[in-house]
Amino acid sequence: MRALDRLLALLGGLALAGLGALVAIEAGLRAADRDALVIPRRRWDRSLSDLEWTSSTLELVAIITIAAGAILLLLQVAPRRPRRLALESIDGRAAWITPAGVRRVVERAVLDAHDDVADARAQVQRRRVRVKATVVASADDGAPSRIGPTVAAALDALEVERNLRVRVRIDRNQDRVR
Amino acid sequence: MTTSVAPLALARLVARVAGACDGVEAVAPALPGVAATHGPGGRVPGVVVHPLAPGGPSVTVHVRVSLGRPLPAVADEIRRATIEALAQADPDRAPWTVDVHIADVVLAGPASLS
Repeated sequence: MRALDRLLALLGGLALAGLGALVAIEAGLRAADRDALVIPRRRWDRSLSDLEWTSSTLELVAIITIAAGAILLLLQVAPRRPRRLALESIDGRAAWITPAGVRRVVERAVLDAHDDVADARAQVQRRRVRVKATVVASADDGAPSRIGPTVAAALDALEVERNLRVRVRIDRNQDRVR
Repeated sequence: MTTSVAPLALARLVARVAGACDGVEAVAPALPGVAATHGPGGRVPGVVVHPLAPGGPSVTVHVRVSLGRPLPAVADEIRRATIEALAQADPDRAPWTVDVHIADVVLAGPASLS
């Protein structure tokens, strides 16, 4: 994903640089009172001069712009999955672990501790860990109350700094057995 | 403030020292190609050397560890060993700051967390 980000950033940067160069050239041509190279400035000037605030086109563009801005704002504000979680610090110096590392340990801990769990999938978020455990058909109804402490113990053993809340969801599936 | 020790050489040193610490399976980033030190003659994945960082020279080392010892203790051992090795190899730039990222946990056999 980061490689894609870098590629997009490179392409975006090149596009902006090209646009800036074009604007500089067009401004130079305008200052020299010569015809435009690419930008149809006379046509734009005419259409903008004729444009009224009540124009439906203007309203449509304004609505689209506001909606796009709101979507971008929401995307920025929305909490994202953490890239790393701090471990307990020693001498004031913290270390970090990736959510993938936490997930692997939690899933293994649940599978090892409970014979009636056929599969365990963990999702590590900023403040909580969600575990979806698939139990065999013969499992009793107390599975969630037994799996929760197992996950909490695994997190304690990892010594993650933040106290992550644990949520367990049980899925009964007769076909999946370990 | 300049030194003859190139970042790539420092990164190789860090990878060797960190990789020898107890509990470390490998020096490697969580995602291939993301965290590495590049230089003439090669690259060192999992180690990022910032010799001219604003807060002073720093190193970030990404490791895969085996489950067993407490992870903060493993990270602390990596940090101490790395700082010592860097101070010897490049004393002009000391003190170094070392950040340890545990990229993954290797589970060999049944996990025992208790």
